[in-house]
Amino acid sequence: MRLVLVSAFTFALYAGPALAQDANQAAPATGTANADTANVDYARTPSRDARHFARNAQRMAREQAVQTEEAATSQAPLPVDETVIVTDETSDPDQS
Amino acid sequence: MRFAFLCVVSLVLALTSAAPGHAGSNGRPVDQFTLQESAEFSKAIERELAARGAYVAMVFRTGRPREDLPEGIRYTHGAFWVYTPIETRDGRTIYGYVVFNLYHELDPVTVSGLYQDWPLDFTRGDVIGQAGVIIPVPEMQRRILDVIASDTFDHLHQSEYALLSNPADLRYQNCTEFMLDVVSAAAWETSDRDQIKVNLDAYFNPSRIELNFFERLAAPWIDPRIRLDDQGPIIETATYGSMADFMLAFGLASQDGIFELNAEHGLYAPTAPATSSY
Repeated sequence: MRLVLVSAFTFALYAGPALAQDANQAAPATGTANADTANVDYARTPSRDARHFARNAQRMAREQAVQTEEAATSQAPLPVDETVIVTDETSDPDQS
Repeated sequence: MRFAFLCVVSLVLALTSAAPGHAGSNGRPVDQFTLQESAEFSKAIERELAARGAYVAMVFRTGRPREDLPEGIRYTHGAFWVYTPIETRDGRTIYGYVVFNLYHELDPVTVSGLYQDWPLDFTRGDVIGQAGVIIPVPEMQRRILDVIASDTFDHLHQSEYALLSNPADLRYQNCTEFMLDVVSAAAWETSDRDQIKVNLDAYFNPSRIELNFFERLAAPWIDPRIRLDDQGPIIETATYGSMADFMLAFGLASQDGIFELNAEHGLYAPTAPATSSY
């Protein structure tokens, strides 16, 4: 029994935090995002309701593949907007 | 008797301090950095992926300091980043990445769901300022997008969540195993989960974590997300490193497409992973 308890205690100290993903102390969010942040409520969405994003990517990737083949070039860089989309998710209250 | 009592008290205290609360791969922000810093890091990742022409990439972050992770594990969460036009509420169309995740729920933590969110949500769960990246080769990107855009994506999801799920077993799934299943479905062009597991058992070399008998006994008590009945004598699980090795070995990703991005000091230069096996 002693052996079990001591081993479990050691394991809790050693492996408990290691296996507990993402449970870290949190600092409250401060500061603001980029000036051109799209500060709107883009809530997390079930993925099945977000397939249009993948379909758009699918279409663009196929078009790019055709162009790349025709021009015999490597993957071209893609334009990316500087806007940062911010959701209304708050920090985990148990972690702050 | 007194010794046993002290052991029990110590054990309870240790478990309380070590237990994860309810935070995990659940998408709740940890906010180790300021929102500005996390936003800048998320945009740096987007810029790097876009500069490399990636329509889809596999990105990993850790919500735990490295020293708290078992040997061989560098990240605690991974997701697909997909390049796409995004309509803003003011009617603009911007180009950037959306993120497709498997998150476990808050209650019960042993069940997961598939969710789409945004790059900043991803980096708000990072506590070390580093992201691991795998950019599949263009043909694999197109195949992975075919899976994400179809019913197969949901079909590949096993909602029974285990923190250290066995990638060759159907019973449980975590975020990394789900990504591996999507990659496998794309590579073998199948949506048959049984076939995928047979193939992974044959071709995928998982990361291994050694726990002794007592550790295995205590682990599920410490954290209900640790369910080990899909495991053999040695715990096997999918990680950033084992997936990078797998994709490199079978030509699903190139060496150039596997790198880490560091947010430290505002420098975002990609570097080769620090370990020999990613």
